[in-house]
Amino acid sequence: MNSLKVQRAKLGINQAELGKLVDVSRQTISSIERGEYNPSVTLALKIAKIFNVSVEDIFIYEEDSND
Amino acid sequence: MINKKSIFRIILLLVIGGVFGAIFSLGLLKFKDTGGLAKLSFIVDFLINNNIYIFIFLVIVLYLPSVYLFVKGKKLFEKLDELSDEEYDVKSKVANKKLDISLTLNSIFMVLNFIVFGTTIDRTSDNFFTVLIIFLINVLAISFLEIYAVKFIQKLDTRLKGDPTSFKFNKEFIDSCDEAEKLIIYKSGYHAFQISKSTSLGFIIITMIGNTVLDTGALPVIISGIWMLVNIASYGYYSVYKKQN
Repeated sequence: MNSLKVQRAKLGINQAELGKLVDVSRQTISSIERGEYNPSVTLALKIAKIFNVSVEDIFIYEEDSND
Repeated sequence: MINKKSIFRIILLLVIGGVFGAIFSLGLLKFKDTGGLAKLSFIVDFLINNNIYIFIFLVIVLYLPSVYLFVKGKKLFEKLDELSDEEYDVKSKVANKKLDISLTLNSIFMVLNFIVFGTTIDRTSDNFFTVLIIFLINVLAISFLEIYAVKFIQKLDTRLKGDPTSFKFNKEFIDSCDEAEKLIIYKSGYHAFQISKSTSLGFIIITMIGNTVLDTGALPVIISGIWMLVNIASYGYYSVYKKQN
């Protein structure tokens, strides 16, 4: 689960612009927002830096019921 | 530690494999005894005499749909930039699917072209040069579509590097992909390796039985073996290389 979409809206940038800022494709940003792809620590830190927040403010760890 | 259950499973798989091998061998023997080889040579003769039509058929059922899907996907891709994020999620999946299917059809067309050319070409035939020219034109068309598709994707996403005509293309292209794209490529590559490993083993067994029962020769067995060897050796090499680096 993540609040990337909310953070993006706050900063007023779209997926393509965020993608350019962190050097990934628009599709990757879209996949992260939909929870289809979990970014690496490096990418999560890069994204957090753009929004000037901590990684935990964007990415929330939820324990899987199967764990 | 290998337990009794695992040993039993291995023995069971070997027995099942043996039974299937025996059934297949008996089937081939029966096929040989009932004049199946003569019927097979009739089919081969038919294919050789009609290879031009087979090439045309392949163009119609594979290459033309591939071009059509590419054009459709390209049009969708060109409109993606103007879409909102919500619309982009839906449309980008459709566009990607069209492009993926298009390039897969193009690759299947390439393989079948080589198979048809390799199995039906007859140096003594009157239409030898016609078939050769059709084959070369098809290869050019396949390469053109592939190169054009890569250049188009690179034009849309300037992060993606690599000249598709260069030998370094695969490395340069993968290096320029982002982590999510790399993950998809690596996952697909691993699945392809697993399928290829099983298929090559299957071919070794089939060609081995074919050589024993129908005298098909040792070459198919050697080629299947080399294919499997290259697969496993390259996988092993890259896994060791990656662990060291």
